[in-house]
Amino acid sequence: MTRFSRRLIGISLVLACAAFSLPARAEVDIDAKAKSVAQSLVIVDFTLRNENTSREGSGQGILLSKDGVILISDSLITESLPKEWITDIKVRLPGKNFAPVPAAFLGRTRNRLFAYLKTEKPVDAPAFDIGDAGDIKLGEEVFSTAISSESGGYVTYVGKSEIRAILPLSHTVGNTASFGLTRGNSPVYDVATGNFLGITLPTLEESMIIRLGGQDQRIGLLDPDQSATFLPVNEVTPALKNIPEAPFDLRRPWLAIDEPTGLQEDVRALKKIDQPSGVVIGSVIPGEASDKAGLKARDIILTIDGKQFSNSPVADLMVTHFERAIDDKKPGDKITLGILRDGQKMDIPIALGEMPRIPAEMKHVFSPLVGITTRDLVFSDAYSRRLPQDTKGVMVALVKNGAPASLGSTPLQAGYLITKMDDQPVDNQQQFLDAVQKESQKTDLKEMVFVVIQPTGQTQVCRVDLSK
Amino acid sequence: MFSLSRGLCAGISILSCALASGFYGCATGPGNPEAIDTRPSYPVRYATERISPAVVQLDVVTEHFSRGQSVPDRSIGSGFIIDKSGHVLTNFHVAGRAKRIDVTLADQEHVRGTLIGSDHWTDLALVQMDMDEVHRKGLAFETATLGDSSEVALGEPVMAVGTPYGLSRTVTSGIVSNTDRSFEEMTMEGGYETGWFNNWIQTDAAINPGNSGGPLINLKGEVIGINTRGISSGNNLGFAIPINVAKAVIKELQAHGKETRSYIGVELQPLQDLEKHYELATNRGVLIRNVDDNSPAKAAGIQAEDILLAVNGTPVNARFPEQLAAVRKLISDFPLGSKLQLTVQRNIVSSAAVVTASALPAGASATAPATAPASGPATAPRGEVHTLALTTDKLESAITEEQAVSAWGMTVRDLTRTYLRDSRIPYTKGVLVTGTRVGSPADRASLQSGDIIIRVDDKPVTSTEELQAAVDKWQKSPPPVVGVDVARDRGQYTLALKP
Repeated sequence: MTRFSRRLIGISLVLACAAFSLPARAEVDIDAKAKSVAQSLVIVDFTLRNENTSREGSGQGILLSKDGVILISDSLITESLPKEWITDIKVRLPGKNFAPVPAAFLGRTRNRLFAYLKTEKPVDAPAFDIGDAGDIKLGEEVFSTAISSESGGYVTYVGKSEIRAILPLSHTVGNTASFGLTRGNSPVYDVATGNFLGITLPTLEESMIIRLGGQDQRIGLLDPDQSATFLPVNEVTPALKNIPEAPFDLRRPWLAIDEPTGLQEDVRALKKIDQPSGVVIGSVIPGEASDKAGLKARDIILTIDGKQFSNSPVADLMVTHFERAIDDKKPGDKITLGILRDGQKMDIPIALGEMPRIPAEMKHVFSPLVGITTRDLVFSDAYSRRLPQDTKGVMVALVKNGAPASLGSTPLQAGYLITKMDDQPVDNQQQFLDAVQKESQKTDLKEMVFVVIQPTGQTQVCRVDLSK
Repeated sequence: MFSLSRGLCAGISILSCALASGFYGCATGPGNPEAIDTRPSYPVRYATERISPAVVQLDVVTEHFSRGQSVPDRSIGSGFIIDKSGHVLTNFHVAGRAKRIDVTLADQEHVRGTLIGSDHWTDLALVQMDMDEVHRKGLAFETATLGDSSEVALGEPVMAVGTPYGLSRTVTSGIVSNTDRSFEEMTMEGGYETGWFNNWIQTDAAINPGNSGGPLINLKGEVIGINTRGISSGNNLGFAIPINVAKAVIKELQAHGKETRSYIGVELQPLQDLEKHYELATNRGVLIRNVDDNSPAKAAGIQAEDILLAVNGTPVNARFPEQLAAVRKLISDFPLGSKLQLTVQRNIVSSAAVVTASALPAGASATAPATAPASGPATAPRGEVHTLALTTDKLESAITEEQAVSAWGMTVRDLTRTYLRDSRIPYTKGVLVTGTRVGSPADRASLQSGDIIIRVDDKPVTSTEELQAAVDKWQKSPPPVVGVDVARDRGQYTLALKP
């Protein structure tokens, strides 16, 4: 499958572990601090519902403003879910006996770690106060604060631990066996000073879904109920401070190179590159920003606007740092990449494109007559099937179990690209829906015959029996 | 008093015995086991005596490639001797990749065998017994009589003879459960394509691993099938390749060591329930659902949704999946490079794809009048019949022989156009990596299975021979590092390999 630079960007994690018993030292009043912080913590509930499934999701949120803006972990309501399938988002506030209030989704942060909700009406609860930021040091004793779920009675609880490791995050969570903190998205504090240190990562139920190669891959953390890793204060402060007011659509910049890899030491020696880190282009996406700028496969990117983007010796991290540096820009920004090609150094100016929409962002519509949910095509549909980008059709996102489309010797399947219906070309979703509407008026409708392109790129004819 | 005379008692007992004999078949009295004939029925005796001297056990050593290394593997199968020259027929998956074959005759004597031909498409292989050894040792064997699988009847009693789980000379019996079982196109272990051009005889005679390659016989002792597969999660579900399929393949294997088939690049779909939509008579034609890029069919102008009606005037029909194999075989049986006339019914109704006579490729003709408008809304009638000409290409497997490049700790294979097409890789010349050994130079260079090596030390590599030659050259004085350019997914990368 294709990847167009959608790995989790590099940030630092802090790993904490169970504390051994240590001699007593100065401590902040944890009980008082925890209860105070908990006033700004909320429970977020929502339902994931489509024609085939219905599931409840739940997690912790941090109240950011009296307008009711809530910070949640990005993976709680993952980017891969169409918004039509997320319903009944509710926020339970501590001050109101945790009675639920409806909330709407606003958008996601640039670093792909958090997202924002907003309650329908302003709330009467204190917004989260960052307070003083603390230093992250190995061995430092820390505690985190959370509120339990309904089964626990929504009580405030804490977890206490110490910082065992400070890890640069690549695309897995570096984690060793450790317990002691609280559920995901909980604020973390220094035991000695009460200074704010960061926010815990989501737990298994709210586990991180890392987008690798276009396929969601769930990273399991070891302890299902307790997070043992937290994001440090410098990473989370922008998300806590840049509070949105209305729904926003974050458009990301797009360099449009495929399969970048870090520069391995051996290859560096082979090509006699003196710089420690770089990123090798696997391929450029034809017709897009990189291609238009003249970048080519096997080019080695060494600098962005004259500056090194990474000083890590780890190949995977070089890519992460590179992608983060690009992610900091905006679509349309002009940058200069310093590259090495066939032993020659050169500067390539490039105007960044705009990241194409992902499938979940397209409108999903269910057609009861046939029993499928469809959506318009996005860039990756044709690209992953190695079809021309001007391929027209409508994508099957879901086939309802037991519906006519799921039966017979040639059922439709999610991932099929419908290009024709009953001899009429289907260029987009609207055409498809109009055609279905027209067909449904017929009193003697017996069947529909679709021509589809399968994920393998091969065509097939599918017949859906609609006779009563 | 009722006291019966002795004579009357004897009479009564004789009468009751006679009555009893009517139930139990005792001629001379109730419960006489001497009268029970426990031998197998005459046909069963005849058939097993006829076939058994011709059935052999095959002990095979194959070279198995795993994680960058060649690992010898041993397995057991069955086979049967088909002629006095000592040819043994078996399955490809038993002996097709053998490095060593030991044949055990029915009388338990051993003789070496050599693979002389194989065809994975039909899962058949031909082994030659070492006749010098046969004569030297004074060994004796019989040959099997090949039957006619087209005469096989549903429910007919059959027997399987072979070496299930190493138990040689095992006979099992059952009936024919289905004469024309089809499966979707399949591959076998190693990725070899199989089962495209034939259906199977299904039987409930017990067929287990080790029976592969052995005969399925009728009660005349004639071989009607070669036992090939079973469904392990089921009971009594065995499948044999019909012997008539093998007869043609045997000739080719004896003459050329392999069978060469034609390829035109169409994928077929049965037409059941689509007749009304395509306005066809029932059981007329077969649907072309996909046309391969860069294929003879594509070049001839054949399109997806065309209904193939005839090949060189011979009508083809596939209403049901069971009929597809025969159509594929009809096409593939043409000699390589044959010029074929394909009669298709065109089904594209939209104006953009209306094929007027002038737009057809050279050599094609439309039998419907070319009065359809060249532009405008969809008004072309469905059912325009066209005859399109093409020249067949060679049917290629996606798989080639694997080889070990031990110096670098990896296994490789040559590429085929079929592999590149199936993997949707734009045509690349190179060598496919199939495995790397942990800790080897290839592994440390981050070579991966699936990579295509396209250049080594900046020189193009187009075959495993070229690669092996380059590696051998460096064995003498290995350079500190070699640049290896690979294609992986859509990307190209340079890896540094330390030999």
